[in-house]
Amino acid sequence: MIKINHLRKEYANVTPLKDVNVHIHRGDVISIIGPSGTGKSTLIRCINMLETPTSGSIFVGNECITDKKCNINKIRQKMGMVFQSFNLFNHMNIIENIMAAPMDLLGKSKQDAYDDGMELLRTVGLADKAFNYPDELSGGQKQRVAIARALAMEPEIILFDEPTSALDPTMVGEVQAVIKELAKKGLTLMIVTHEMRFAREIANRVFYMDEGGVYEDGTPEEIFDNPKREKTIRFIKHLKVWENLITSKDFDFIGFNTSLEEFGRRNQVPQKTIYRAQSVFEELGVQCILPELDNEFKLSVAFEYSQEEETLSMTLKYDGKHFDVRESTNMISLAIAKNASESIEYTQTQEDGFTNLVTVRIK
Amino acid sequence: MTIEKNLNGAELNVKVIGRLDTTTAPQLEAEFKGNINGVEKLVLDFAELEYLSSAGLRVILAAQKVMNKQGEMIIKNVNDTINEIFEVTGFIDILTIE
Amino acid sequence: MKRILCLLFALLMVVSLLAGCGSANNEGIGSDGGTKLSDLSGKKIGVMTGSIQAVMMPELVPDATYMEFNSVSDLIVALNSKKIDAFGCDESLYTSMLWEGQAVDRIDEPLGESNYGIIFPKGKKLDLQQKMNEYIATVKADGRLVALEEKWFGAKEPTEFVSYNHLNGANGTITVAINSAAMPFIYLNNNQFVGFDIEFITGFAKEYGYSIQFEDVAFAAILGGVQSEKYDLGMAGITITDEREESMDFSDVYHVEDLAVIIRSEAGANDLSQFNTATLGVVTGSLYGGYSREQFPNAKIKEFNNFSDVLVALKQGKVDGIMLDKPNFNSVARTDKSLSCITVPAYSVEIGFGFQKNDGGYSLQAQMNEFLAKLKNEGKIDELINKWYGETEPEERIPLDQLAGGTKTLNVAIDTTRKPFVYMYEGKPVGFEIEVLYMFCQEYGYNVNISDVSFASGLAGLASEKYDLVCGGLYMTDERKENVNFSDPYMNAEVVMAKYERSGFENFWLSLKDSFEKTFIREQRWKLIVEGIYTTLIISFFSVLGGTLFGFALYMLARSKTKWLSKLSRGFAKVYSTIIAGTPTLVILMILFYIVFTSPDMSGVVVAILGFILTFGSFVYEQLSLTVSGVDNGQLEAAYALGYSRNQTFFRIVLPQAMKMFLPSYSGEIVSLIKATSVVGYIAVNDLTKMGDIIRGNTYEAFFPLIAVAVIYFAITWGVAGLLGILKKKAEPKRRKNKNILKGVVR
Repeated sequence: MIKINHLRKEYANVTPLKDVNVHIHRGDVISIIGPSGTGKSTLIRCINMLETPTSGSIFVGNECITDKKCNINKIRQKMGMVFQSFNLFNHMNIIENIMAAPMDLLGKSKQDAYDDGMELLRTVGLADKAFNYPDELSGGQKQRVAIARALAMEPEIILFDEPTSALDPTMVGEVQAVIKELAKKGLTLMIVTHEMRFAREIANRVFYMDEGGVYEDGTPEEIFDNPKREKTIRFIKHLKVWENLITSKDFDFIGFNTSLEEFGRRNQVPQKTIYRAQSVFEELGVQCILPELDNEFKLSVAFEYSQEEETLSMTLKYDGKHFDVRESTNMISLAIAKNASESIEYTQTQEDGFTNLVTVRIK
Repeated sequence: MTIEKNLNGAELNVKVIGRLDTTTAPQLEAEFKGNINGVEKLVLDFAELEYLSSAGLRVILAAQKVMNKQGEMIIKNVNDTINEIFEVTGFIDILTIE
Repeated sequence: MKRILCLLFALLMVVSLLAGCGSANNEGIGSDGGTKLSDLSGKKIGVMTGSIQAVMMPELVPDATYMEFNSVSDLIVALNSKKIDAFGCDESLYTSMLWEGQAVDRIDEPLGESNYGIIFPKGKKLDLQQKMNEYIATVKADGRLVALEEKWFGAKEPTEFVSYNHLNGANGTITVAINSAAMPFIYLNNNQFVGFDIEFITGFAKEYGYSIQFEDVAFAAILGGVQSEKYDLGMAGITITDEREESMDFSDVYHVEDLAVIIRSEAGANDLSQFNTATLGVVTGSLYGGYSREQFPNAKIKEFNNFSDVLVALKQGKVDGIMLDKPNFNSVARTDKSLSCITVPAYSVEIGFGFQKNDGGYSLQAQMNEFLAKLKNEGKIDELINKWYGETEPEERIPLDQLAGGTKTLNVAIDTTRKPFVYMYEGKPVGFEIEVLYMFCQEYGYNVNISDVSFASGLAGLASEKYDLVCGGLYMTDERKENVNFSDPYMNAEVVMAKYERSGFENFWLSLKDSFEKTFIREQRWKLIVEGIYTTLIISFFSVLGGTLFGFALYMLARSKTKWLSKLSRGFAKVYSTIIAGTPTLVILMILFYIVFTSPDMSGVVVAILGFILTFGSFVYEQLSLTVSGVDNGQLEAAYALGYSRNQTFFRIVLPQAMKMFLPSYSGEIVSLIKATSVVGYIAVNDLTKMGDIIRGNTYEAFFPLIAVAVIYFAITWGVAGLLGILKKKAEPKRRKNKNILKGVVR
């Protein structure tokens, strides 16, 4: 239904979309997730041309909407949009908000617009507010009206730009319930959201946006349970990462430990775990590996902490000759390290100029 | 790391406070080298020892070897983590822990 | 609301009292023998800007301080409020000031002359100029000019005027620039131009077959307009000077004016000259009618049927003074301490009894004279005079009716309205003369038969021998002596001018009434006000309408999708707004009127509307831009997302919400505009302010015309603001009724 080819959007200082290629089918309910500033909103705002792409093309059906000759207003009438800040028309009451576009743009009769509008209001549970004004409604109510207003135009697809981000936690549920109903009815929806549980429940497809495009695209199970790519994983697991590169045998050990301690504190890593991490690093990294390295070396240390699973892991990457740390002759260090770890794994690698990779899961 | 010494006749009480790791172990080593002569009983108090690595262990082992000739060495107030380290490294058999 | 009204009233009182204080002027400059020119050294002298006096006065009195004013009425107000001590003007102006009852004097020294001429565009209209000079020569020769001068520069304001409306104009129309604040040369009476110059030019037009189109503009505009050929000729008592001759042509001299220096009236409180230009009350046919007219030739005379009426008129302020004899005054003043009098030394009246002019009458008269002489010798006369004409009224009856046993009965006619000579007390006649009569009758053994009639009837009765004796404070005038046999005068009474001191509040109230009458009623000046209101409203209405359309159109162009059009419009709007914002509205109007639209057919009203369209339009554009950008952008995106085009969004979503912010400042600006139109007088438009000024110029009143105009403006703006307020309320979206919103829908 919607084909997006090589979509690129540049601003003066930043390019949120570098090269987006996706195909959206009728009936898709797509959750769009990802860290801030990765172009999630930009993507859907390009789809209804509220943002003009720098290059690339978007086809809605057979029409190329990025073409200058295209009558974008007509296309937009077939797309609905629900905004983070609701954007209801303040000078009209609720029912007028809903009746306005169908009457003005579709030529609906006042009676029909009224009847259909009231029906929609009933669907979202706000029929009794028909004659109130937007400033008399709560955020959740306003957003439900906004959804009804979009539905009044009988669109083929509805775009949601962080529909619950501006709401009190108490009102998020009512809006999500309405959107769920729409999904059940088989409408095509694209929802940019930070609510992971909601994104997972409602969608049949999830876009994880990162690095200027759709970084990973899959079913909710694929993305949430089995993310394949590194950044997706990190995002899904809410992973916290701390990395350090050591290039001298006289590196600042005390400073390292202090930073590691801080990283741990920041992310509410239990104190014992922090000690164990320091211990594992000292025993494996300093006592076992460091002596084996050349004078000119690279030793990368990375810690990943998952707040969800409360697990801390350490990755050591080093260059030089192949050396399996597990076969170190430093028995005392090994013993201490093993004691503090769930597992210690070693592989040879060719990533980024390193030759050895050690992954430790810390207790 | 802070070291508190207390010489009581031929008994030397040494309290180690803080971390005993690669950077601080030499400090303890120097301490022992200077003051261990003529001591018949060396008591190491680990009540406020937060962290112990293999570097520290080696210094303790050296001290143990010396005291074996002069008298005895006792380590007291060891917490679980440190005890675990003594266990997995087999030091628990070599050291006298109270 | 009540508080506001109280505050306003208090303010009004203060202002008027201050104004009143200003005009209480009891000090003249010089004291004895009038002020001299040399007395003005070091004083403040006013002159009218651009006038010949502005040049001549500094030459006459070099070491005085000079202040310039725009109009004659400003000079008079300044003189009365003591801002200046004197001003220079033409003598005929002085005369017309006296018509209007202004309390002014002039310095009695020859001061100089100015020659008046009619101006034409330089080197143009030579045929017209020739005809004019021909006419001037003719009317000088055949005495018409002299007659005209006598009519317009005399003591009394003329009441008959010539009409210029029905000239046949066979040879075309001439446009004549005039200034209607130049009494007595040109001024407005009943909405018509009248005056010396008007009659002069009308005469010319009649003779040479022209019809006239008068253009009433500011004095400077006459000179400028004639120079730029906007008008055929200009006439407004314009003095011929060498400087002016360089840039315009003058006709021959048609009138020569003496220069006068005007000072405040030197009347003291006890000075008869305070009545010189006052309104005096007289009883019809009385002696004092003639005396008053004689003594105060420039005063206005009001006639009344009898003494009580004229006294009431004095107390009510309808007249300023009445002339009467002292005894009469004393008796009246007994009960009213507000009355005071000033002796009129020119007159005195002899009072005596009247007898028939026959033998019987003469013998009776001889008896009376004998009796009176006796009383005089005994000092009785003075005693009686003090008794009856003194401070207190005697409470005594004269037992006239108890005269009995006399040998003869006299028929006596008494006029009991002649207090204190003869009057009624407790139903019986009393008074000086009654007591004298009583004593006389006792002495000579008469009875009396009293007839109470007016002394006119009494005197008539003497002639018909109905009565033997007439009592009633009779004045022994020469005229009467022809028909009446008088006794010797028993008293020679002083003649005085009586005046009534009113309380401050009464004065205030009276002057208010007087001002009101002068400003609105006299010469139907209220019609001028109505015309002024109409003009102000017309200009305001069309300016607002045009300005709104213009500003709105400009805004729509500025937001056009066509890039070059929108850029051009915005650039233009920026330049245009900056110019408007930096230039005073008045200057803009004057530029339009004097430089851009010089055609004489271009009415000032149209120019004013154009000028205000420019200024109001700029405001509308700026406000629209401001309020539209105040509408939150998100709603625009929502509208676009629904499929609204840019223009649909603007009209359906943005504009209605912008209006909420727009309307308050819009209505405020409309009110400002109404007030701003007050400057159009400068471009020859007779709006409300200008009309107020014209009235002020004609009445020399400052307070009432200005206050009245201010009140009217207030009423207009208050009304307009109220109307706009209703509109604002109606435009508020939340005030709409649901049933109206959903008209035509079944719920």
